[in-house]
Amino acid sequence: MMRMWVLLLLVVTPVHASDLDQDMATFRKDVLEINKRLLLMEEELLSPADTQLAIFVSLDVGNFFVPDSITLTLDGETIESHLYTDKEVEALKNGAVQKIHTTNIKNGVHQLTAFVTGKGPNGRDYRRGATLDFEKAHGRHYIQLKMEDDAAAQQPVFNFKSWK
Amino acid sequence: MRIGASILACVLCLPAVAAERDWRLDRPHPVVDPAYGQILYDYYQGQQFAALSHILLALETGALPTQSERAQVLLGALYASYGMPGEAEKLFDQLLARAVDDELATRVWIHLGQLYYQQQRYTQALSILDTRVVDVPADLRQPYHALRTRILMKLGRYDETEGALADLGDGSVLGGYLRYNLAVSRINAGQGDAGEALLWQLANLPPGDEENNSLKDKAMLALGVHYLRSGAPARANEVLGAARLEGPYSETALLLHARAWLALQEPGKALPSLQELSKRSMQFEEAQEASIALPYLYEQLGDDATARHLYRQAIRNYTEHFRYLGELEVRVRRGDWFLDLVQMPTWSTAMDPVPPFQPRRVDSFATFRQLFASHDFHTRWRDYHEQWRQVRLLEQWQQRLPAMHELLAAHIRKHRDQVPRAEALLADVETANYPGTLRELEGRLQRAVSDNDFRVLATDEQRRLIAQLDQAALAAERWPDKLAEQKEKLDFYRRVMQWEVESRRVPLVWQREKVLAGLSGELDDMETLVERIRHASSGDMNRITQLGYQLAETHNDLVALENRGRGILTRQQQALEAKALAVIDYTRTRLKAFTAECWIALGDLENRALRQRYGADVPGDRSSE
Repeated sequence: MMRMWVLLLLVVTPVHASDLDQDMATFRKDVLEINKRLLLMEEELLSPADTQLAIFVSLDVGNFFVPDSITLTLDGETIESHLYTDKEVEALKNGAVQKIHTTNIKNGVHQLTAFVTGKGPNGRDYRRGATLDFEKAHGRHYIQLKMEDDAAAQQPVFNFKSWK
Repeated sequence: MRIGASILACVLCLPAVAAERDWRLDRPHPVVDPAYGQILYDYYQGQQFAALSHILLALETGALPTQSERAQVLLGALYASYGMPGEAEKLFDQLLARAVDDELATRVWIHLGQLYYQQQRYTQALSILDTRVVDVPADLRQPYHALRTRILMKLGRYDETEGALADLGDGSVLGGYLRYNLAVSRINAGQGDAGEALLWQLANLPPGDEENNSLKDKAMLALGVHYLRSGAPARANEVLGAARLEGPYSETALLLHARAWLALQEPGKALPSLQELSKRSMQFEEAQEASIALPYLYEQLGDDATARHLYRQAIRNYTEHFRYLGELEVRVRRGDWFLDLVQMPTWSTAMDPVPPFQPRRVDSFATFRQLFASHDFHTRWRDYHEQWRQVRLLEQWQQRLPAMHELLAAHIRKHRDQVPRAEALLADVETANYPGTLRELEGRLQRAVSDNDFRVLATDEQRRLIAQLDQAALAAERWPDKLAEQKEKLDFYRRVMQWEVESRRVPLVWQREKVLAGLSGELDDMETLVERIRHASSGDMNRITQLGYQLAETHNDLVALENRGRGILTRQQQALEAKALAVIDYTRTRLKAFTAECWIALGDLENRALRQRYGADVPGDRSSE
């Protein structure tokens, strides 16, 4: 009978910190550090603080609007077009903020326009534009496009928030 | 009995993988700082590396004025799940040493508990959860209860585990896997009835998606094993008879089904399952086992001829498979197997997450099926790809460095072109002494007002006329006798002019003061601009010089780090190959044992045949021993 009951065994190795794990952890730490240094240097070179304009997008609640795409124009020129994936929309619905574009502009008056498409109330196709006139002064300038639900009107609203 | 235990172990190996996957913080976080929102944007999409990088970046640049500590909690959690437990623990300790608010401290304690669990410090982990965590934040409720369930299970406190499972709530796949783990743990701990009840809960779940059905299959298998182990083969037979004939557990189910019939003393009914199994690839351990079990059954049924034939066939199959393993070993040692198996994921950027585990379906896939299903292999495989991603990131930075150098050079050129112009401009401004001029004008106005000097308030035309009147009066002074009348006239005109100016004295003084105040404001603006130019022309060069040094250093660091990364990649590959070689060795040992058993059985059969043919002169066979 012995040969009938030859066993199926599974090699299950317990998880423990080996030298390799330790080396990987140290390596990852070093990579994160150098990546941070390089990102900082790149930003310093590409978008110096004095001329930097960063544009953010947020979605509050999202019952009346789910974005499909967004196109940004600055002073009449298209600077960014973005198509949203389901994961990105989900992240926005959970309260995340997307840094959609960073650019350099001169001090003075500018006009930013956002064209947003997506699904509006009752799943209908929805397209809307929103414009902001702003003055860029010294230092970094941030603009946030807030896509919010207007519960009273049962419609989405698109507002800009501008700060330095 | 051992077959039951081992199959149970085999069936148990998957849940850990599936259960770990659900450990996430992904519930809404209130966002105040945009940088924190940006971090969450990566985090919610499962882009751990990008989230880690952005947290570090935001902390470095001070972009989290209000949510720095919250971001650090997230950083610690990410460190822990990213294979950097040392960093995570250090950070959590630092956060707890500071006076963080209660809600944040609770989050830290939960993450620290998770970290201790990963480090197999179960008592400490439970102590933290039970003594430090009072109000579980809503977004951490599921991870918290799942963690507590796991810890209690590891500590063997099964009744409490059931309570913790109830807190987790029904319906989630994670809850299902934890219930399954608890059931098997209870059975293995000798609490068969309790475990059986839990397994039936899972087996009776309504059919659902692939994952749900797989969980049901596993529960049925575990029930079958349990019934076999507890001497209830009829019930085992009933459960296993309903198992699916396809899917990853079908081979095990077939083998156990045969086992149940044998336990019921009905070997004839075990034949179909074993015959079905023996048709399947010898790469499956169950098929290897069926190859020897099938002739044994025929032998038991008295069909020696078929048994003999099948033993010989089993020996041929084992020999062939042994040879195949030899070739496979060569491929593994040469690195070909790994290259075939591994797929280089396509990343759009090095910040993208590592793609899911998908080893290529190569010929040897079934040989390592159980290895691929193990948590350890999953972890190593994910680490390997993560390592590749990091090396690729370093490569990409190296490719971008020339462009960054070029940008820096452009900045330097611009600086060299504009700084002399700026300095010339500053010198002109300095020479012009605008503030001094303004002060002089203000002084003149003040003096004129206090001295009643109407000339200062006159228009240009009036000033011209007054000057001409003064000249004429001076000329009249030379002939006072002859021009006395004209002199009086001139005096009269002058007084008229003075009256005309002074009659508008108040608005004129106000107008002059306004002009001077305007000039003063413009001068302030100019001072600001001058200061900026002065700052840019001096500080800019320092910044650029610093960047230049940093870039040069970074290049060397990148090269050194990439070499280190490639070294680790090689070691990771070797570790995975060593696991494959261990499987090959283990299978070989099994095959040798099976082959030997087949030969012995054949010898016994021949011996028995000889005894039947020639009487009692032949020595007795071993099967009776």
